Amino acid sequence: MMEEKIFEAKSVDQAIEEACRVLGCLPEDLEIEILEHGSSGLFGIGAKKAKIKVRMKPEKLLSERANRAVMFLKELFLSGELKIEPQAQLEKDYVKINLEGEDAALFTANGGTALEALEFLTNKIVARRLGVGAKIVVDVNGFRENRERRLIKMAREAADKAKRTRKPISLPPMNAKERRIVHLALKDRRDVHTRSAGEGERRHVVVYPGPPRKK
Amino acid sequence: MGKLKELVEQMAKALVDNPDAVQVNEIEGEQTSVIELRVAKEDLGKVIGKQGRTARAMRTILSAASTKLRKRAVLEIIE
Repeated sequence: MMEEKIFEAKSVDQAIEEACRVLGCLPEDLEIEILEHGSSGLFGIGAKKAKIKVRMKPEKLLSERANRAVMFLKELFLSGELKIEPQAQLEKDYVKINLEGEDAALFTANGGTALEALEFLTNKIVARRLGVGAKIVVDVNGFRENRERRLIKMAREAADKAKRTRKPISLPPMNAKERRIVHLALKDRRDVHTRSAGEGERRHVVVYPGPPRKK
Repeated sequence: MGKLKELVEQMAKALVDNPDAVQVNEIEGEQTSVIELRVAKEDLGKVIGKQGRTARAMRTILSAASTKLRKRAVLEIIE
């Protein structure tokens, strides 16, 4: 739990503003207790500063989200008799949950679609209780990072091949998140450009030779 | 083979407003199990999700878990 902090300013509103600036949040993220309303006094004589005590609302706290997520996953794996232990780690603005144990590999098969599904469901369930907030990333021993690295490598190879053969190169079907990684990996290259093609499950990135056409 | 049923029950209960109304039935076949999920009428949207995304996520998780048992499992949401 985050501790309480005290802010002083000329007025209550200014004190709230200051609190939000320091804590990097919105006024609605805070529980605010007014200690002194403050007064401007007469010609500045006898002016009293406004004083407030603030605390981040619990649902905005990463640790709370992490606990919810871990609780859900633990119960889920227990009920399915899967040998997986979720371990939460608090990052700066998101929660990372790593799945450990012999059955964790069940979720990384087929390019990690099940991991994606688990992440989606976990976020949904946490948001249901605590509102929309910091994202929860579910991973199995760096699978996601590795996948990203593999995608970037794949994108660069396809770009080189497109340039060499002067023909468009189609990549395998990917979900929106993966396609985004590929598009971003090649966005600064002047010798190729990318576009997505196909519908639904078959949607994929095509790498075209030549500079991107101006719209 | 009761585990898959419980897995679905757990997911559904976490998603709905009326966890007590969640009912899960398993019809076991030789190779395929059909898992029927019933929820309160007003919770139907919660287990299906926008464009069926939540239902699809549950199916994907179910099939990942069922590979451990070398079985196929199908999730049917009963209206």
